[in-house]
Amino acid sequence: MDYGIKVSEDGFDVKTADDKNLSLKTGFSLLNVCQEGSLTVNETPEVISHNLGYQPQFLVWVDEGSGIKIDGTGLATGMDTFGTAFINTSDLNIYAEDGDGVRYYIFYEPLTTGSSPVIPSTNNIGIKISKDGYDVKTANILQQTFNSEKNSIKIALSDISSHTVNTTYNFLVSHGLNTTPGYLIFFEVDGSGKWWSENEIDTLSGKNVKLNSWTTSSQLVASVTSTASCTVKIKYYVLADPAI
Amino acid sequence: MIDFGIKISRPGFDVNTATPEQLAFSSKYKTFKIHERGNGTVNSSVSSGLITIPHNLDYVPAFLVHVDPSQTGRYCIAPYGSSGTQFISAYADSSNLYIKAIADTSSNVYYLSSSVNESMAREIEGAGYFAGGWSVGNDSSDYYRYGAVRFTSIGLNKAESFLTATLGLYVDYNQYSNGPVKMTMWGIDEDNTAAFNSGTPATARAKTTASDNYEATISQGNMWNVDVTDQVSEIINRGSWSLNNAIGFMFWDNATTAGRVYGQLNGSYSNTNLTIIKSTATVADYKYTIFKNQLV
Repeated sequence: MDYGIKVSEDGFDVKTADDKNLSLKTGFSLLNVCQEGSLTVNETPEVISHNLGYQPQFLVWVDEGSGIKIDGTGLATGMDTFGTAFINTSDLNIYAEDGDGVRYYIFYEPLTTGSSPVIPSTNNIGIKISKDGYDVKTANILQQTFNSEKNSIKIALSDISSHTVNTTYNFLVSHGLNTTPGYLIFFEVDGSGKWWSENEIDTLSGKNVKLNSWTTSSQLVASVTSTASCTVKIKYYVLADPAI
Repeated sequence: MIDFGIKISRPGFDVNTATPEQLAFSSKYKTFKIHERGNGTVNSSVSSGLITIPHNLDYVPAFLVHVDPSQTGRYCIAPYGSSGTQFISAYADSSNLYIKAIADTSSNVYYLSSSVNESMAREIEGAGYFAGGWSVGNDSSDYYRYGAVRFTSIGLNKAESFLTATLGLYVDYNQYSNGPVKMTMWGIDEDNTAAFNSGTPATARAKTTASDNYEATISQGNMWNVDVTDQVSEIINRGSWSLNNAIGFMFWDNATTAGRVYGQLNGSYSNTNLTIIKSTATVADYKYTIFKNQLV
C-alpha cells in the first residue's frame, strides 16, 4: 500500500520488508497495554480488575525467589494452583504464593476476534495511527495500530540457536538490560519442525523434552531436560518491558 | 542510545531520557504483531483430540494459546496440566498451529481386606467351603478347587465408564508346580456382595454373564493378572449398584490336569489387587493468537 506508516526492523528496507520484519505498520494489531503493574502477593488469587467486558490478552511473570518465571512455570498446574493465572471478562486472577513478586500486563487486544465493546477513545494528544477505514480522530483503541498514550510490548533481543541436550542442558543469555525483562521462549526437538512454548513437554519426540526458564537482572536462563540425548533449538524474545 | 530512527515516549516522559518501558514505541525494538486469532473447543475424544489450524505463513510463527478447561470463561495460557500430566498442549510448524488434548487417565488399586475371612474363600471338591484364602486348580487327588475374592469401597458410580479392570491374584501357594492351571473367571453378580464368611458361600453366588477362560503357569511369589473388565462393567451396570459398594469375583477350575493348584492361604492377603483404570475426556474451550513474528 502507498499510504499510512511503516517502520522496519534493523537491517530491512522499509520499502520491501515483509510484515514480519516491520516494527510498525498501519493496520497492525500490536500488544497495546491496557494495564500493567507489579505487586507482592498477599492472598491468592490476586485479582486485578480490567472490566473490558471481554477476555483480553495477558502476560504474567512471577518471582518465586529463584528467578522470574513466566506464568505456568512447572506445568502440572491446575487452574487454581500456584504459578498460574487466568483471565475472564472482568478480572485477571493470579495464583502465586504469599510473598511472591508478580508483574502483569493486560492488553487491549482480545484473545479472539469477534464483536467487542467499544473502548473509549483516548485523548487527542501525542501520536495515533488508526487502522484502515477508521478516522484517527475518533477511532477507539482497538481500531488503532498505535497510540503514544499506551505502552506496547517491545522486543529488545531475540535469537535462535541449537544445542545438544544430554538429558540436561542450561541455556544462558546475557541480556545487558538494566531491568529484569519479560520474555517469551520457544523450542524445537531434533529438527522436527514442531515448536513448543515455555512450560510445554514435547510429547512428539518420545524424549519428553521440557524447557523451564526464568530471567534475572543479567540473564535469561532456560533449563532443558530430556529422557534421551537430543538436539534442541531455542528461540527467545527478551522484552524491553520488565518482568518485575 | 542510538541517534537515528524514531522514538515515541508515553505521556509524562521525556523522549530523550525515557527508559525502554517508558517508550510507547522505538524503532530500536521489534514488536509482537498479531497475524490471526480464533477460538474453538478441543475434545480428547474427537479427532484424536487434535485441532489443526492452518496459518498460511510458510514459516513457524510465535503463538499464544489460551485454554479454558472449566468452560466457564476462564482462560489460562497453555499448557494446561495437573499432577504432572500435560492434558492440553500447543505447538506450531510452518503450516499449522496445533492444539492437542489427551484424556485424564487415573488408576485406582484396591487390595483385599485384612479380614481374610471376609475377602477370600475357596471350595475344595469333596472337602467343602472355607473362608480365609482362595485356591484354584486340581489337586493330586483330582479334586477341583474353586476360589473367590472380594474388594470393598469400589470408586465407581453406577454405569460409570472406565477403561480397564485387572485382577491380580498373588500366588503364595503353589503346591504342585508342574504345569499350567486353567480357570474360568466370573464376577459375582450382586450389587454389593457380602463378606464371604456369612450368608451364601461365595462360590455358590450368582455369576455374571461375562466370563473369561485363563490358563497360565505362575511361580510361587508371582502375580496372575487377568482382565476382568467385562465382569466389572456388568456388575456396576446392575440396577442397584452404587459408589463404594463391594465387588467380588469367583474363579472355577476349568479342567486343569491333576496336581496343579495355585492359592493364597495361611492368613496372607497382601498383593492380590483389583486395578481399575478410568479415563475422563478432556474438553476445553480455546482461543489462539498467531503472531507475524517468525520463530524460524
